Amino acid sequence: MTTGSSFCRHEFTIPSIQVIGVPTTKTVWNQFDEHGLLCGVSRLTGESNWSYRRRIVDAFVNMANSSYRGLVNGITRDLGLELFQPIIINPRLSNSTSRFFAPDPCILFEGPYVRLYSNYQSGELELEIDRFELGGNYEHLRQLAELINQTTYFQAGVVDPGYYWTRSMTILNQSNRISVSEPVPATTSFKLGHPFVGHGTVSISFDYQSMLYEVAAPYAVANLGEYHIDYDKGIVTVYSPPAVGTTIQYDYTPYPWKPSASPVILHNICNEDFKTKLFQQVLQENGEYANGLATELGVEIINEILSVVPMYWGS
Amino acid sequence: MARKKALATQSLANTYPLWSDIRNDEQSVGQQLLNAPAIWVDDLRRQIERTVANYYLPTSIIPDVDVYYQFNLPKTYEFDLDNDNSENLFSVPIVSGLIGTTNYLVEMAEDNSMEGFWYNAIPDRVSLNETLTGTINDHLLFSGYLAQCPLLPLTTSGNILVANRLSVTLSGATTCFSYQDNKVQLGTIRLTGTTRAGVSITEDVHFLFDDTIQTTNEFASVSGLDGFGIEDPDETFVIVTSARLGNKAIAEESYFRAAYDQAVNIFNVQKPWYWATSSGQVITHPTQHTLDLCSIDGDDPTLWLDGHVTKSPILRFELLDQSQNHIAPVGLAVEPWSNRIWIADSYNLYVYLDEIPYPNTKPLLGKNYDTDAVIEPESYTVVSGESIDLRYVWRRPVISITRHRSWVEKPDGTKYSLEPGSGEVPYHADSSSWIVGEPIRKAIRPTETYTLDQRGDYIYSLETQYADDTSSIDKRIVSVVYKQPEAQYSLISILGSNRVIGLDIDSENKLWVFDTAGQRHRLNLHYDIMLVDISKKTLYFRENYDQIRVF
Repeated sequence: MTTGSSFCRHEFTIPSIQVIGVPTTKTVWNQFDEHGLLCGVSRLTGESNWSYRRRIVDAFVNMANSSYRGLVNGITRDLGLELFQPIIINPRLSNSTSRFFAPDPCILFEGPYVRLYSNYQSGELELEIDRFELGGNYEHLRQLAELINQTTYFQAGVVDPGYYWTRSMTILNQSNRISVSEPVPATTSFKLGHPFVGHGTVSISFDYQSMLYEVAAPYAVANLGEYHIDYDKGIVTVYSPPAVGTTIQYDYTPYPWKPSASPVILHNICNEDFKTKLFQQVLQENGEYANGLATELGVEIINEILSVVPMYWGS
Repeated sequence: MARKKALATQSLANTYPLWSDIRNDEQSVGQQLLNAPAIWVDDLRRQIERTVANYYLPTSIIPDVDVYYQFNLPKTYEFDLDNDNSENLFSVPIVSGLIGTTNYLVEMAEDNSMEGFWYNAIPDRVSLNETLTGTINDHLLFSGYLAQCPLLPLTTSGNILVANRLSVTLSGATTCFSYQDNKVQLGTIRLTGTTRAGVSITEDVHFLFDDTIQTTNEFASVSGLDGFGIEDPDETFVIVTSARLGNKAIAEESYFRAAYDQAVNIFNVQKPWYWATSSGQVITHPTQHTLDLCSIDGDDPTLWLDGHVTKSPILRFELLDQSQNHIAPVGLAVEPWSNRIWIADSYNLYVYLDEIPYPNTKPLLGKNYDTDAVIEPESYTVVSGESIDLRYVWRRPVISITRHRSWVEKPDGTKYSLEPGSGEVPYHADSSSWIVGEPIRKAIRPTETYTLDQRGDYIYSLETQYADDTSSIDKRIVSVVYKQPEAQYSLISILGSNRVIGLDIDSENKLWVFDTAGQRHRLNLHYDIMLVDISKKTLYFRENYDQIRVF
């Protein structure tokens, strides 16, 4: 095709270049593909054995199914992306007492909202953040963390500056409450496996009689069936030792907490609330709002969808 | 094929009686014969090990063939075929691959075979993938006596700088194996932590005796360690590291398991083999270091289970660079599922093959295998500068010996006569070369000691004449063994003013070099190599070149 090329690295005389081209990437079917076949994970073009094995293992850990989390897991994995933990969010903790300042704190990611409850049991909300709010400026993790840090009961930090401009909507729907079940030792005072137990989440099975009436302090436990729980420290006091085989179920707050995130943002586009973010809201004569022109966010999303799906908007 | 000794040869020879030469003498005609099929037995055993490993996802072999790059030549392209038009005879086209602004000459794989293209290929160059900073010892995750269990990580976060399979080293244990109440109890170290995906994980690592064992899972952080089923927890020390540098300062084992090594099975014991480096074997060679193939002393596995697991070299190789100069190794890593051993000195990286050499036995053709008078060298292999004792033994004193003489041919081809009292004298085959008279005892002459300082094969010969006018010749080859690297790579551009202090291979089969500044350099190995399919007019590459040029 071309003549007269010279080498930078090797010195020898080249009469002519006969062919110039770009190689294509190929993969060999091997034992990993066999394992992947069993798990429904196929190899991506140019994917090495090592990263393919990680995706196959991930199929056991972050299972794919038709639920919200299952769809996020499956789409993330099939695109060769990964779940990550970009931010730490915690209820503020007293250094002197090692107890949360808030009475029963809870952090909840739900759709576009981040809800920070100071008392989850009684429904007292300290702050609700709409990550899609127009002009709210919380679309990135850095602003979201700064806003959370302005609250009385909660604090947050982005784990790496590389995540500062990651979309805050990458954080999946989840809460910082984890449910566990543990066997109970046959003693009148025992420590649960985890501290920071959620109020109103404790229940007991088998020997129900040992924990019927909650009292305000450990020394107040004076009769059969009375019990006390130090929720922050996870210490339970009962009047008589529970029978062998008794188990206790409760929710606890992991501390510190790193919520999971995925580059795949799964959101219901038919959600009425979401429509108000996609379209300008025009006030009607009857006092209700109707969808008007698409907003900047709306244009971005609609164009993205139209670029991959042959459909008419509104049909 | 280069002459090499098979790992299975001695196992096959062990089926013969204890007193037989075929079992005891590796230069017996029987062992020479057995060595040939034993090479295939080795190959079969490796294939079985690979198949078993590939049966399970966590143990599947990562460095197997996965990604390659294909380049289709135009249909009009014609290879230069030889006159006889045989498919196997063609002129290899000159091919270069462009990466960025640099052209690399791409050569055809050895024999144009898959083995040469992938499994046996030696990297052409090394480049830096990434550098992580830290302190020198922050790969040390746990350290302490089992009596102190549960142990907590040495760093409060428990985070691991490089997520990897962890190495657990146990030392000082008396017994890790017991049988109680119809139950077998194995010594167990239980590690808890998280994977890269942030998932909590617990793994039990089982020990039969003091050893270093890798976890099956990769850990990104650790949170705790517990141990049970091991006697004397007060004396048993455990350390866990995320990289294996063989650092004795932290009580880490400096023996590295051979790449292909049958797992120790109580009912069908195969001795584990290890590689290690050592120095100071020969006082007259102060810069000499050796690469040692080691094994556990003693053959009785019940003794191993009682904690008698000291290891000794069974074969030593003098370590050389490509210019045959001594090197001072600071790190060793055995590449899993391969025949390669990586060694680093302060500024360079070397790759050696793990093959055990077998001498060229052609000089033994003139030997009488049934001779009554033999030379018994103390060992068939030594390293340069080592001394060796030669004993001359009259094995079967049936017919009187009238005279005998011996000589040696050195690797450089020079011959010396060996005479009692005088040692090596210039070779002469006249009548004065004979020692006349019958030995009084079985020892034909006193033991002689010689220092061997030429690399290669020394051929010792003993010619004996008997009273019945018959004569016999015995010959023995003593090899001065060494290892020269298949390739060596300078790391100075990566290290700057620092020096290498260690080497490891991670779970992705990537090499890491640790330097004096506590930095960890992850290396990329590059293979400028290709397979040529002349019928499909296709070239296959291992490197992802931006552009291919065929001249």
